[in-house]
Amino acid sequence: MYFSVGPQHPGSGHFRMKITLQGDIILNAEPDPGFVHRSVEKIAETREYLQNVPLIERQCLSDVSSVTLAYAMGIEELLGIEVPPRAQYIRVIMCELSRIMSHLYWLAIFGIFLGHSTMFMWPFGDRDILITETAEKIAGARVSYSYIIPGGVRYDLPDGIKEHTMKTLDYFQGRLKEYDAIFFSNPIFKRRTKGVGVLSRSEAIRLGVTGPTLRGSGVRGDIRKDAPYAAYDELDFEIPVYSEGDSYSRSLVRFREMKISSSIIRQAFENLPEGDFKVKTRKKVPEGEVFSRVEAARGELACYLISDGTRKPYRLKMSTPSFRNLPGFSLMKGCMLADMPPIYMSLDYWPLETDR
Amino acid sequence: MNEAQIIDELRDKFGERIGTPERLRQHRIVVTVEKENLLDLAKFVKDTYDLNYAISVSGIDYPEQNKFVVVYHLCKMSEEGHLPLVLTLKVPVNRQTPRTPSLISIWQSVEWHERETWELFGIEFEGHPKLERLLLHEDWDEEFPNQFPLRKDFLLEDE
Amino acid sequence: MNIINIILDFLNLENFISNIPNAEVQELLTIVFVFLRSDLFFKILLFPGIFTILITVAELMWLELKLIAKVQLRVGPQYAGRIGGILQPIADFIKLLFKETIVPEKASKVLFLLVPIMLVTLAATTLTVIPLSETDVISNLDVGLLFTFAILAMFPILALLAGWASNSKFPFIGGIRALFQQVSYEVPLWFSALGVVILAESLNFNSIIKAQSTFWFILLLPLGAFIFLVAVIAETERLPFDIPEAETEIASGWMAEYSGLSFGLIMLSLYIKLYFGAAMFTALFLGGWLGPSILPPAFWFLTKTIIVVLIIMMLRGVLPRFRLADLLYIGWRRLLILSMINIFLAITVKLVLF
Repeated sequence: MYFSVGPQHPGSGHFRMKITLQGDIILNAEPDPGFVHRSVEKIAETREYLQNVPLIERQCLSDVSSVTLAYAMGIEELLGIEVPPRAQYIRVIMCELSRIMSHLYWLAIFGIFLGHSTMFMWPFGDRDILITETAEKIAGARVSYSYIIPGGVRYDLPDGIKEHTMKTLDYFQGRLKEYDAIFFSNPIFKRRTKGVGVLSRSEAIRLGVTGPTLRGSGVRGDIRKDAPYAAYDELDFEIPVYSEGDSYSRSLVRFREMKISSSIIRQAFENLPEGDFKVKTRKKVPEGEVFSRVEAARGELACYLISDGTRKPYRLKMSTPSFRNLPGFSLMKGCMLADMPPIYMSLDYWPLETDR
Repeated sequence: MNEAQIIDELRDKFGERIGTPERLRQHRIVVTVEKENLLDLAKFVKDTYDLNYAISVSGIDYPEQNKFVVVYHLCKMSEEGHLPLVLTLKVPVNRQTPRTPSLISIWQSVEWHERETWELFGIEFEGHPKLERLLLHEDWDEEFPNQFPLRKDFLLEDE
Repeated sequence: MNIINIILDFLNLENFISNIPNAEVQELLTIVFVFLRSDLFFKILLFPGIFTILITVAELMWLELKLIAKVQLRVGPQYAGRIGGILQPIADFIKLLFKETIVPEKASKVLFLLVPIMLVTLAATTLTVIPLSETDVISNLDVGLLFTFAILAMFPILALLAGWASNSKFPFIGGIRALFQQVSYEVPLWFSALGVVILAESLNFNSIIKAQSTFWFILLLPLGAFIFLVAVIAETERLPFDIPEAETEIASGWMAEYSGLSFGLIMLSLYIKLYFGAAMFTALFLGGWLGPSILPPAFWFLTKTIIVVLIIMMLRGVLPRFRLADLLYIGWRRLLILSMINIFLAITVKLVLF
């Protein structure tokens, strides 16, 4: 029997999966993206570099800072300017905050897919009150704030932000313990996700997946350590890696990343240097091409930028992590229909990112 | 293997069949290659330097020079993570009859990227199992027959 | 002297009847009025009948909304009714009355509209034998327990019919899953109730309750009580067993095509079933209406039922959903074996204690 878990489905997002069933076993699950295609790459060719920053960040709304950081890093490399250290640390803080935001959103949707309504309410509540408010104090808007621009960041940190963030993070640690008790140690959750959708290490590298999907299969791949950018080479953190490769280990990778992000933010605030937060940039970018990579919440985001010496980019290509995780949908072959939500959610697929 | 050694080895092995490998900046090597020699170079690069991870595939349109360029970014992924070197393969393709061999037999992960490049540019990848609509809506062929949006001659409404 | 008598005296309808010329009609109406004034009609209509069930079920819905809201760190209904949104379920039901009942084009119309009515009727019928106190029972059947199980066996068929009559893929899958689930959990339900019957030597609810005057059966048969509670949660399709209701990849299962009053009736039947399950648990294991006589026995019964309902609702906030394969595995293998052990234990207890 063929049916589609279609775009008008409470919870599948703007995305369609074509599923062929036989009895209760999935024979074939093919993803069908493209419902939110807004041709960001084409529009970016008609606007100036600075005007493209709000355009770029809207392609990945839950993880705003990482996307604009990739774009800004590319332009700075072409211009040949050096960003001041204070701006680098502020960029690190914003990136980690948006990583926590993205992972909380993932956790909420995962909960509601498995039918756990409490796990749907708690992360959204915490995300809204704790993290988005902190981002609002720093950057001025709650979700898409266009804070990281080529040359640095837009505004300096306000007064009292360090105490506020530390209080927030302390409360957040307590909440993480509760999430662990109610969800990750829940025997029904473990039963539904252990051994489901196993991705071996060689298969993960062959399919080209990235992010926590890769780290849950035993590969220690993280751009923050392998090709450090911003201030990551001066900070001390570890990369969570699990070798089983099933949905449970992918979920645990994201859960531990939230804790690690909190500690990175604390370190960044402790070692925050004084100085400028922005340097002046030119509007005309010299000819050349650049390929910059960052570690977004969902994986590795690569920005390929070609400029021809004018004020507008010649070609901008964003290689987003959700698009590169699309081959991961072949994990659903041979599973029961009830195994589809854990696999789908453990890939952390974000339709807006794929369609750009 | 540092980058200067890689450049020398590629020049020695392939000589005239590829363009001069260029070191753009730290950790970036760019090689231009015609589509006839593409498969050989790709196999060599994968076997010798173990570049087993294809990051992305993109297309660029140069209407004045009457060509497209298909760009492959490759890196090496081991158990301990990425190695920071990125090797870029640039394949120029004729703009009138854009055809190029698909590298799906060497790297499985380029499947979705090549499909997207076909859809938005019109470059056909020979050997790709499934070149179908991915991102654009299903009525595209009725509204804009045989037009590809990311080409430079497809103008947006406000241009 | 109950309130129906007072109302009928006030309206003084017998006077009106004696003025009717036709003798047969007069006789018929007199019989009807004798029934209306009788004790049985009072029980059916008011207490412990339809009116009580509706009010209790409405307040159970409100209780669930408030409890789950507190677990999830939010407030819940606030505005309907003066005290903390207590009239919220009634407001919801009135809203559903105003919505259009959409019947899908290719669905079998009669069956589609008949199923919710049958669901509510059957669910309410099961409550006719459960006593709220020694005299407050609509019909004190000698085979009360068997009667409830006979009615309970009809529910899987109704769920399947609802899914089949909707003529659409998701409800169809949901209906079949509901059938699987409810059928597989009926057997442990019967077997654990069988343990109680062995101890009490009767199928009459009042006798079972009176047999618990020394010890409540939950103390003598804890395993049976546990199996019964789990099977009740599975029968009423609550989390963590709500696969037919909200799975099929989150599209509301066999109730998907229902809207308006039909949907309201289905929701009502689900909560009546929940109330019925908790009431059965109280009657069989927690000693029904037994309790210190400072307060009326109906009060004790309702209190115990509400405590059981609270336990069932608390599980909703804490556990995610099972897979269908796991669910059937638990029902047919684990619970069945445990319930057979329970029967042996019941026989042992009976020989030792009584």
